[in-house]
Amino acid sequence: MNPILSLTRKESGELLSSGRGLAWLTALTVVLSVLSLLLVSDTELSLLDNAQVVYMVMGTIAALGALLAVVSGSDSLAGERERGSLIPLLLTPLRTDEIVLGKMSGQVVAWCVTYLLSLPYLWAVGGGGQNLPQAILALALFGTPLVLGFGFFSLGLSARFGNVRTALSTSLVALALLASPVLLGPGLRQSAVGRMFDAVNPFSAALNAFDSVVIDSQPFLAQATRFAVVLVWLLLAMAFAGRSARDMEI
Amino acid sequence: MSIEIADLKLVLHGRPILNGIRMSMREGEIYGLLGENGAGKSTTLSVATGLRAATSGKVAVLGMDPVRRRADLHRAIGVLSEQGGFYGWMTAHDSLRWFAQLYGIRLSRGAAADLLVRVGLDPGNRGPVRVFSHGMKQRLGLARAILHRPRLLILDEPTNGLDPRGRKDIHDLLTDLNRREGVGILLCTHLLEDVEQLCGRIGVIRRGETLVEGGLAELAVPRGGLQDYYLNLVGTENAS
Repeated sequence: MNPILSLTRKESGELLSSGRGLAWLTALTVVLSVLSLLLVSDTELSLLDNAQVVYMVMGTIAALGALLAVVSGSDSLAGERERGSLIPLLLTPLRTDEIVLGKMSGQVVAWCVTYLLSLPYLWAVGGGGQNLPQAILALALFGTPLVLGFGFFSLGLSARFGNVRTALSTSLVALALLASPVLLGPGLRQSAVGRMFDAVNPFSAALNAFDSVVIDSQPFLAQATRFAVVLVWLLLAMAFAGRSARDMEI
Repeated sequence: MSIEIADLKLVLHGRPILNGIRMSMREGEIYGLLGENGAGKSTTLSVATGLRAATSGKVAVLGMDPVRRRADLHRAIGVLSEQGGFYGWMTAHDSLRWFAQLYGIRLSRGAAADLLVRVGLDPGNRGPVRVFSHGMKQRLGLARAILHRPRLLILDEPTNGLDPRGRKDIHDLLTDLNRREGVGILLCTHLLEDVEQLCGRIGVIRRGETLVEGGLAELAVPRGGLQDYYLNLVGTENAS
């Protein structure tokens, strides 16, 4: 078996079948079940437009995916160091960028599982609407680079800081900062600063794309700029992770 | 030469850690690297294995630059690091087979069992590594270090925490690897008994600097007198 695939298999196994992974999958299904139930049964929430309901679930899935990526990314290299398993890994013929790739491939598998698990919920809340296929595609197109970008970013911090706690808290702050503008009121978002932040913030780009595709039924081609923002975020985060892992002190 | 180090210096965060390490280990010999705690033994090993880049000086291991040809070097050497570094949830079998995959080797269950027997572990033990004793982890670490048939073994405190029987088993295994397979062994330890029994040549380092290097006879170390020689040497240096 290819060494990178071996590392991927171990990483995805640790992420999904360990006690922590199973707890995560349980929490994910509980959150999505409760949210979906509220959206279809709560008297006020059920009055929401079908497309809006789908949009809310998509945003929640992207946020939960990013949260998982941040938690596992922060643990990836710093956790190995704290558990004493980093040096034996570095003493194998794998190059540092191959180790980063193997670890991130494990996160790709974890995101795919999260995505697949979320599909029944999207179907449950949006099955009666007309934009469900677009929603599923948009979540894959915009959610994947967004989530993996957070994974790479946290992995980079994990390599730089060398301890899980600092890497995790910094990553969570970054996630909160990037996610918070989308929670601001429309007035603030329309200000010059708000518009500028929206334009470069990958979280805003992904959510605005979900909004345009699912609620406003705009074509995917019209989302090219937003796709570019999340793609640039992914590429920058990859470069940061690669550089940090190369510079990592043992 | 297996390892050739000349005037190795390493500065970390503005602080000199290694101030002039020299070492010449010949092909197929067992070489003992001695020094007190904090002398710079493990740091020297980390430079020799390419985990750290030297600030200045010459380092060549099996004729390779450890930093530039790190992947090639790691295919040719086996390392037992001070930290075991196993994944606690894996069994010994799984651990060896997983690490073998990272070397691009397909290790059968039978071959993994043979390796475990060779280092004195029970191949029938299906318990996770996290319940292993320190000695068992040391043995498993040694099995991991030799699974890809390296030309050179770099061992950091290989008999640390082992009982007398365990130490003898490891001595026998290392002697066997060296004599029958020609594997060169760099033994980094503070257990002078190990060095006297196994090593032909030694290097003593202190405060990041090589004090002496040579064969036990060449250094006029009397048989069974390495401890006195070492303490005198370190004591002299302490006094100066």
